[in-house]
Amino acid sequence: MTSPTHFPRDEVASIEMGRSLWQDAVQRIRGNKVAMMSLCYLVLQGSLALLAPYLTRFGYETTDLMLGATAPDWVHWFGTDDLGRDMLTRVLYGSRVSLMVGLLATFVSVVIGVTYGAVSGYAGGRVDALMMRGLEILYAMPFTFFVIILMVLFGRNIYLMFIALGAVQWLTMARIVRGQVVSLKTMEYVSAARAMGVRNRAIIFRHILPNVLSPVIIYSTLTIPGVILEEAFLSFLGLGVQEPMSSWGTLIADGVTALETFPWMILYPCITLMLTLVALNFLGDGLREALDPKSNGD
Amino acid sequence: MLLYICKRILGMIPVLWVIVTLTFFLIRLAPGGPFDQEKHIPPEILQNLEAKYHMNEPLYMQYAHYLGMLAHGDLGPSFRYENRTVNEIIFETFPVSAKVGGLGLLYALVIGVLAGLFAASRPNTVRDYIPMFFSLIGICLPSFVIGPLLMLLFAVKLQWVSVSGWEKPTDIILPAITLGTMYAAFFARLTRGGILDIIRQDFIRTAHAKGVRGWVIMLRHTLKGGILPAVSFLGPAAAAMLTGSLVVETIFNIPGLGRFFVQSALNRDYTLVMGCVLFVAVLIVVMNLLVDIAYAFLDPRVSYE
Repeated sequence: MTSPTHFPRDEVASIEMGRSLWQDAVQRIRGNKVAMMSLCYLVLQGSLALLAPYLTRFGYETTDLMLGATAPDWVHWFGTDDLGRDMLTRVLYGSRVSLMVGLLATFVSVVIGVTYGAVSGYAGGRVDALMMRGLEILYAMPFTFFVIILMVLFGRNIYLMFIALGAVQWLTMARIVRGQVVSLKTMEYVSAARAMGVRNRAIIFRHILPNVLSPVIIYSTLTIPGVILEEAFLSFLGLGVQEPMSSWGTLIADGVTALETFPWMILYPCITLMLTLVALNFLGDGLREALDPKSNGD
Repeated sequence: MLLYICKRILGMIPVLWVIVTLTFFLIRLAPGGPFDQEKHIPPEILQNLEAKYHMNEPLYMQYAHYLGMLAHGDLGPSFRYENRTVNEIIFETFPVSAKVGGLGLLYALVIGVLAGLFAASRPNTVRDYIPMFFSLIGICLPSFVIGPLLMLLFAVKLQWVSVSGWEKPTDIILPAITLGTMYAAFFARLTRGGILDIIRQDFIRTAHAKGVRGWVIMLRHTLKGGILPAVSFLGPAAAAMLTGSLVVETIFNIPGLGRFFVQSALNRDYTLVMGCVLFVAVLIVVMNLLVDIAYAFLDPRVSYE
């Protein structure tokens, strides 16, 4: 007697191969013009940031005091700042820092959040209750204040900033993942897999994680703009990236001081920051619609 | 209900204790101290100073001393502002922040909820797309961009208000708008989402079928449930307005709590930093409790018994 899951060979072959969730999602997001445009913009922005050293003739710290601040022209497309530094170069180099902070801090938050949420949800019982209580306490923290304390007291170290910003953003991620895991582990197909003798590890990796992945992807896409804003906020207060390095936040802060005299200094960093945030939000919404068709995207 | 509120208030104590403990040790872990000034302080004076602020005692004694003070509602003397206690500083600066934050929150709530209602009344039409487009821009426009732009337009070009400072009553307008705009955008999206969720429900269709007029349904049935997501965002929004005011107070040069906080961290004014963090934490916890209570009144499905 063979096991009940054993089908005759030819019968299996005759069943039409279904499309996986991911194939469905890719098709749906391809049809979403706004999301695709956002993706294109982000890829372009990312490559420009990566290739910044090869794209401009100017160094980001090369000052030209004789030149001073000039309005945008054919040599300096975005103009120069009051020290004669090329603004296009500074915006490009700034996007390196801002995007890197956005990605790395989000990565930190995903690692912490997914681990915390998955452990809490899968363990259940008293461990779960305790871990969720801990989360509630953390929710009451004035986190912006904490990040400021960290940055002020331990020096303005860019690596510390990744960790501090990431450590602030993981709470909601943990909640989402825990909720997913709790509802998934009681699903019938998981019980069925368990009844069929599938091992614990296989259940986690084959059945639970792929289903947790889509909310994680959606939420991380929406975390990145939050982190980028937070970095800009810190840098604006003078607690983030230090001269001569630049990020969008420091550039905007410089622009504010020269608002009346050299308005182009604030214009371009602001436009770049806004376009990136808008694109990330659209992409996040698009991903949500593609990966989770049940939600109506409101 | 009363029992629930008492339970929640008791539950705040461990939360605040964790926050106090974390902040206390975090600050003291950092290199540098409150008396590292540029000019050299003679060792005798330094000794006296440290004795005055209990800095010469072992860490656990300082901690116990601080907790003891807290239990009496005393946040201690400021390390840097001589002869002033942290309580005094907070009571002087917080009303300023609260005024800006309160007006900002009011502006965000009114504009946001109205825009959300407007958008939800004709979903997926131009009347929906225009406010939602603006709300997306609002979410992506940080306060440190809006603030200077408003300043440039209304203070420098049109000269309707003064550029910055805190003397005239009109000085509050630009900071409040700067602070509130991003939250107005959030409120608009939440309200629209909430309303659309309710509109699809059966009881709304039933009301329509019974011939109830459109605006009565909107006011009596849709709004009541649809506003809930916006209400639950009120707590975090109010808290964020207080922390968000850091930037606004810096831009507009307003003597509020936020600016004092950044200064106190830079000065390593331990007690003032702790006082600010604790004060804001209490505000957050209380706001969340108030929102939860409001929820019980608005949503009959929620009960805390």
